[in-house]
Amino acid sequence: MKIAVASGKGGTGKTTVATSLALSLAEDAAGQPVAPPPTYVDCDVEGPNGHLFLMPDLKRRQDVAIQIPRVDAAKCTACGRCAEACQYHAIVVLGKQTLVFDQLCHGCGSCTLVCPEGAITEEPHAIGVLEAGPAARGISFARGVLDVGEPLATPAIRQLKKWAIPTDGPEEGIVILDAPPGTSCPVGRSRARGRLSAAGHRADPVRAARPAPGGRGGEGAGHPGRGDHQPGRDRGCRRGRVLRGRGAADPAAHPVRARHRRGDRAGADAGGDPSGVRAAPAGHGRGDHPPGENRNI
Amino acid sequence: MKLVITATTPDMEASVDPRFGRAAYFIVVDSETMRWQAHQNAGVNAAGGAGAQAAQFAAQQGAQAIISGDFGPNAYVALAAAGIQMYLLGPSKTVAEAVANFTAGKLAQVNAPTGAGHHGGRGA
Repeated sequence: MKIAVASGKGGTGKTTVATSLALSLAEDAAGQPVAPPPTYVDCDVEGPNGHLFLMPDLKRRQDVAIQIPRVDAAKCTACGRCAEACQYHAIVVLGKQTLVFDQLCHGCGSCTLVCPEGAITEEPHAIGVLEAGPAARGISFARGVLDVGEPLATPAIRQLKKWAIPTDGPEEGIVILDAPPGTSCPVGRSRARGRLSAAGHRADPVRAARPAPGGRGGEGAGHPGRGDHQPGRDRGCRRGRVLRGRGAADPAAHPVRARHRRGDRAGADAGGDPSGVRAAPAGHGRGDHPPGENRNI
Repeated sequence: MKLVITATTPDMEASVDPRFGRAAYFIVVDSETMRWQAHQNAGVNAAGGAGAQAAQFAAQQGAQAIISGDFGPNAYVALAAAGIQMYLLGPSKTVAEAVANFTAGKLAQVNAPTGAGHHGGRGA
């Protein structure tokens, strides 16, 4: 069983609840260790802090990387198909040159697929690290840590979950997913496939988590998309679609999902789960969400 | 010489737009004949990469120089790669003034990105 702990606002106690759950589930009524022990996964890769409560011995480490394109100038004919295919404007063709802007690349692989000359190869670009090890009361602990300044949390969360939760069945025991704050893509990615959300998104997390007068929570303050948009104003944003619209759109229409279906990528989920990457290019928290759609997040 | 100037409305008397990638319009002007054409900026609402896209547009137009108020890291890298010169608006208030100032050699040329970029919190 997977349990995702989420909320629309930072500083509301997700990690307190998630770590307490993990600790309480690690022992049975008689105080004996439970087998298999619960797994705690800190999905807040932009600011993980579950380790402060569970004190893990982080023995295992693995880099998180996305694949970014490299253009072989000898083979490239500057036809521009890669630049057209790129939904993130990470490639531009200027005359006979094809330029890649690494920091705009989401690693979707569309450019490689459409290049008629086979001029594009991909190389890994590290964005963070995954760490895991045993913690208090035998809890199996894992977390992701995104490098400072890296904008893409969802690939790190996707790879973290795949790495930390290798099985998907009763043998995995109970998995606690400690989600990042907010209602945006990283939250959707964290709770994807969760059997139960401890804090339901249907209850309008933004309104529910409206801050008390005179204060904002610590970890979410000032970060667009971390729950600091105004209640009632842009609730009907694209983020809601991430959380609700699973399977609603044609997976083939989205390059990242198309690749996931093809299954040729390390760290890609099997199956057609579109959340997480869906709204990534659409301006996180930049106020460009069309108002009035998806009123009920 | 073919120039691209960023503008807030699609005409020669328009106020200049200090932004490059997010400018409302691009006015393409031939500084010899003063023939001009206005183009809407398709990248004005792009989630990211607007500067590089605008540079690609300027290259496709065959521009030799751009006059704008700000060139971010992506725009700078792309324009430099395309061999397009970049000039700051300086005191120019309208597109016509910018062309006149450019022709008179009054505008400062840009040799490094003038902003830190607006994407994802990371400079290039």
